[in-house]
Amino acid sequence: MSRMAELLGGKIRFAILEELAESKQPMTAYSIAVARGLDPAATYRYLKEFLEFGIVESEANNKNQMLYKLSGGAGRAADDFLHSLKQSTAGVVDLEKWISSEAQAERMAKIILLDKSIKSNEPLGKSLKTTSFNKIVSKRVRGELAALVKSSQIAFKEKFIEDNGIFVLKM
Amino acid sequence: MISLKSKSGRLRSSAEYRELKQEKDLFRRRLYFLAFFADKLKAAGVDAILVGGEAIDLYTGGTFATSDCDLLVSNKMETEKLLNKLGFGKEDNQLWFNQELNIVIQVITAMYSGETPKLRTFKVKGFELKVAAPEDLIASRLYSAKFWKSSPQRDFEQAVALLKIFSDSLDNKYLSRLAKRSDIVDFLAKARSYASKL
Repeated sequence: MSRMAELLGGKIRFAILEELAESKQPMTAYSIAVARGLDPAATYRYLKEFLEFGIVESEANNKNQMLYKLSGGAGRAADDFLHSLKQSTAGVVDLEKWISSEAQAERMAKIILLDKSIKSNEPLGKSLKTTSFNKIVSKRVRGELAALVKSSQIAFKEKFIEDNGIFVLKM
Repeated sequence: MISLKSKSGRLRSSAEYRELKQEKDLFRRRLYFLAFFADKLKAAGVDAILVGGEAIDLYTGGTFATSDCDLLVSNKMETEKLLNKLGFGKEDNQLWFNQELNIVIQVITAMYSGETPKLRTFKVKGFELKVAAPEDLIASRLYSAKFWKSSPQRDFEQAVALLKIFSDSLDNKYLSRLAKRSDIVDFLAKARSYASKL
């Protein structure tokens, strides 16, 4: 399996963002997929992720089709970032590197920071990251999760036996 | 048309399908169906891998239940044809629902992002199902918790649970490599620390 194929998910996400950034009007998931030669189902799935993340906004047209556009906050930040990236990488772009998870994560982190800084007028790099971790773990008592994990281990052993590395469902 | 109908009829009147309808436990019914379906797909030359929430549900014995089964396949058209023959109707772009069995399948056509030798195998009544490796699921959940944030608590807890449950058999070097590649080294360190204290 080639590394490029392995990282297809990242490539699709950025193709969708680029298409929306370049489009002058809202688009359906299908039209984005057709314009960029993407799998419509994957395009739809990633658009749902972007919606949850606030990068895109959606609205239904009179045919009840869902139209997508970049949002004013995170979406605009993504658009600005893509433009600045194009200007700064006018020369040869290493596609393998461009679609790598590392580069993807780096770009996403910058988009998040850009959006945060736009909303709060904070200088770049000052917001987010580890604070979110503390919020995550503060929502549940440690003992609750420990009980869930123990219960999972018991439930798994009750249901399966391991035979030469294969988990066989007990009948 | 006649042959399609008769093949469809054969599948839905098969002993396995009848057994599936009679299975009361949703966890068992889903797993049995997925293994049976993966076997039929394999016969049609299609590779299938269970990923996402249902894979985590399997590894946790049904404790972290999910609503649909994300199936990564190498041929979407063949998969959808077979789903149709098995009584599934298309609900959305990629969601298929069988009301009789109360099973929802999400068909995904992207390539598997992990290393295929790491995949685990589950077996039900002789049918085998390939399932995403715990290491890949941990990495993808931590990535979601850190960057996508749709349900960060759920994602983080599932990663911690898998770290704890598979603490003796995880390939930690592989997991660290995945974390570095996805820029989640910080979240993996915190999840490992959290899991070690449970």
